[in-house]
Amino acid sequence: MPGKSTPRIPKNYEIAPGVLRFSSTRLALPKVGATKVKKVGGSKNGGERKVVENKGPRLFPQIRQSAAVEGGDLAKTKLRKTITPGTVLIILAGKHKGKRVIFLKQLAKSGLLLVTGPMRLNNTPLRRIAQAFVIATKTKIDVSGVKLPANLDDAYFRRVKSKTRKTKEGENIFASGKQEYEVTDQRKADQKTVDTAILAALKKNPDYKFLRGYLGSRFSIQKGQFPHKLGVDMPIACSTEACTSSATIKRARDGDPVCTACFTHRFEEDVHETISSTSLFKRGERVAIGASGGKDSTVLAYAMKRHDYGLELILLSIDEGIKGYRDDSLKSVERNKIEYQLPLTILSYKDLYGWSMDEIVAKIGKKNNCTFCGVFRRQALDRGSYKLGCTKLVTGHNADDIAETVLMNLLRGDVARLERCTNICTGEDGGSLPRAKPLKYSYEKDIVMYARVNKLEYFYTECIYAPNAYRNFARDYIKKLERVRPRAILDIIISGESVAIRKEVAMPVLGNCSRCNYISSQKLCKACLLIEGLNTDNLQLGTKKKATTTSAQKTGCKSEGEPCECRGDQDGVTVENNNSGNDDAIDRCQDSLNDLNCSTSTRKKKPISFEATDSEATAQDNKACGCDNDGGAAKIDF
Amino acid sequence: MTSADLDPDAAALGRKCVKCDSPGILSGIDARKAVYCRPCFVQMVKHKFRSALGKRRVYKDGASKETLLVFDGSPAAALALGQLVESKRETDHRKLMIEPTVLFTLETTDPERAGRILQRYAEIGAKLAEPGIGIPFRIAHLAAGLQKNIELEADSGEQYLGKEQIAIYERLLSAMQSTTARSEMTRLFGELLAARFAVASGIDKIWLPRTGDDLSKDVVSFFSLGKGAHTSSLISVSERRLGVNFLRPMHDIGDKEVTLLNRLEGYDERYETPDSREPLPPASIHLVAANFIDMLQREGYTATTSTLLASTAKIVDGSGKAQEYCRICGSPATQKDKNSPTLLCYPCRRLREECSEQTLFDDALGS
Repeated sequence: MPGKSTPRIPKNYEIAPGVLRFSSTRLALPKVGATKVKKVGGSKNGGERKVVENKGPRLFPQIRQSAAVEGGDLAKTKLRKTITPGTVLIILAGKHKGKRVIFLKQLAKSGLLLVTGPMRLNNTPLRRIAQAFVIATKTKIDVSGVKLPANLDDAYFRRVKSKTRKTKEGENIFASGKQEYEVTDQRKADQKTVDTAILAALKKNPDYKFLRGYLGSRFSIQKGQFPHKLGVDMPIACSTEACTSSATIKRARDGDPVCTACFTHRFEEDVHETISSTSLFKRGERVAIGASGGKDSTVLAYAMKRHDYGLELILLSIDEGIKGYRDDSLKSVERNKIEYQLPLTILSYKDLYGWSMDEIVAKIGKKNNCTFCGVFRRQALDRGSYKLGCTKLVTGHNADDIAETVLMNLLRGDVARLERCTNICTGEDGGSLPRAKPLKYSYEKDIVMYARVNKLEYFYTECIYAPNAYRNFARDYIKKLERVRPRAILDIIISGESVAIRKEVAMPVLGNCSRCNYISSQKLCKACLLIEGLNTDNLQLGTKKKATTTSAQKTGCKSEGEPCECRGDQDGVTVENNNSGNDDAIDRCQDSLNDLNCSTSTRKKKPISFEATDSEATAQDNKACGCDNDGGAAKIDF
Repeated sequence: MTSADLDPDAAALGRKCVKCDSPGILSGIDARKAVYCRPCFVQMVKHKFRSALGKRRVYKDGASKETLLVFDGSPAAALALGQLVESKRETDHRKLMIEPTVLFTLETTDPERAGRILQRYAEIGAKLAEPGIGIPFRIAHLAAGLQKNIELEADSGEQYLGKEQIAIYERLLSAMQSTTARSEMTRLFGELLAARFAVASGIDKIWLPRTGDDLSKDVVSFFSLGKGAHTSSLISVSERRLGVNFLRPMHDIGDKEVTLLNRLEGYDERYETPDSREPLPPASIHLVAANFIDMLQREGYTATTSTLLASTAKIVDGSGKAQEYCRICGSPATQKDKNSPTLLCYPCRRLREECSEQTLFDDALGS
């Protein structure tokens, strides 16, 4: 009261800070509103006093009412900047929690947001919601052309309270029961009007196809996500230590997220680790790279060029004579030759054996053609390597290939190959040209990614003659395994590396082919056998194992060529092709990861004198192994 | 349904039984190989069962006859139990002279399902307790395998062993980060339970109800888990590990033969327990491997199982004779593994790495 002394504030006013500090007396708030003259009693009170007609709330008269409460002031209910008509909002509470809806307008009286699903997309009707219960997304729909019915206001959405009448004494107060909410026809009509307009607006949006699914889906928080960080890009950091870049690639081998540069670096480091830990090369060696133009051999050549191993590298390519496949891939090899500045030698089946694959397939049909291709390619690579004076041959076999081969050898019962197929370098114990696989632990997916990241050009198509190879089953299994547990590919390789053959298991003895002197456990090597069959029209020679009459009659075995118990099938099963889609066909056929033997190899190897000579001219005259049609061929050393 | 209707593929061939002149109406996985009449088929399968044990002289030369059959309610377990019961009833000189004990195993932690399974086990147990058979049995949850020394009180009042360990069992399985790891842990628990129960009971031999088809699928999944070196012993007919002999008498018998024999001999109604085993979880190596083998057989590669088992029998651990063994699975520890501070084989080490609670893993599964 003016003139009155200020009330004494107690020393402990902190305890009740608002009570005394902000009392109307202390603040001496001015009177507001209309006043009236009121008569007061008492002879000494002056008879009348001016009083405010509407005093307002007794406590805190100046505190503004929340705009969210009905009767609040729209002018003071500010919308967040991110909420504009057409914005897609995520509802955080209530019956429609998690749904994505479209904001239409702010209701005048309450300041609440009017939203709709549309109903057809996510079953959310027209309703009001406070902005505190929504997250505004960046997605906006152009609703400028949408005309909302004028009756959509706060009164429209106000809950209608049923009038309760006083119950008479003795009457059951629960007799009326619970009144269910019923959607009025007006509401249905308005919903339809609004949704039709909204859907029309959505259809005009170029992302309509995705918006339908987006609006129909629910929002949720995943592990590692935080609401306050939503809408802010959260890049995943590269997992390489000391690298601050964002990760763009996930390594297939270990699942680590890495940036592009670290991916390339780590891939090359892995290959280098494989080479150095196994002492794969010696400086000064002349090494042939089996190049098909596919991704594996391309990446192999590129990676080996990148690191100085002190090697003389030569590209060696084999032309099987498959039109529409190999002739195109050889163009890729030619490009590799120019880009990597490596010498290139191409050998063809036609020159070496007198038969191209097209001619062979025309003769034998589309069955067992991979048998021929694989056997011939293996020999062709060795011949070419010896011809070039190379001491080692490297191929682009990757972890997926080796895992498939382990599985195949297990399934076909070829334990001899199983033992050696995981060796990083085969043939080092003498008698054959050593073959190395530097990409042994590199995943196929990583190889593809490496090629793409480094913009390496390679040939990518499936061999036209290899649709139904047995290896496809193994490949399919490996792919499914990789999806479930990527590490399993390396685990299969580890399993293969850890096995050995029991001593009591009889193994074939390695010798030399009586015609071409190539390594063989039989009198004639597989290549000579196959060519003999081609030349004498005995197409089953070398491709099918003969079933004994007794066993076939007894068991009625009709498993032609497949492993069968009744025949005591043991020998290396007919070679398999596997020029599957995706990559180079170098030596992929016929379990070409191992030794050079035409059939099974052995631990008991005789020392072989095996000289590389120029065999090409001889081959042209004598067809491959030097066998002519009457079978009495001269030996050819190659 | 007559016997001829049980195997339409064999009946359709219209051939005679390979052992007698009767019409051949039943066969194994590949009807083209051999068809049998009903009595010859039954005899063939039973002979395979007994010869698997006989030719390895498991019970000969003074060896202990006490045997523990791990019964999990599967058709293979039903066949094995059927053979045990039959052997107790036989009076001729060819009687299978063993002293069996049956261990009914429980895998589920769902109380309702466990109740149904226990009820079925009780019914089977009642049959085993009949005069003239008298085969003792116990029931145990896989969680009991966590006990280092299983205590076998005569009457503890508990319906089954391992009730107190279920909480740790569930916690350990939940801590595994992949379904493959969980599947593998469940398999390990089964082995540990069987071995520890047998040791506690003073039994030296354990029959595992694994058919040839199961074992061929195991080969593929073991290779996919890095167990290549140990696969040969893990699928062999007889294997010494964890202080006991694991026997797999159905090594040469396929699922089809088991199913047919169970139907012909009535073992399916008497002993099979539906829903007793957890199905293979999706997105696990075990399921992918099982589907792969099934697919190959459907595609006509019917010799897949026999070839896998035969080739696996020819391989051994390439690291040489083991001197130390993994403290969880008992497999030989390789040279590399010996350097590991925890002395685990490679697959168990990988399993441990996939456990988010490694301390719990070490405490629960340590030797």
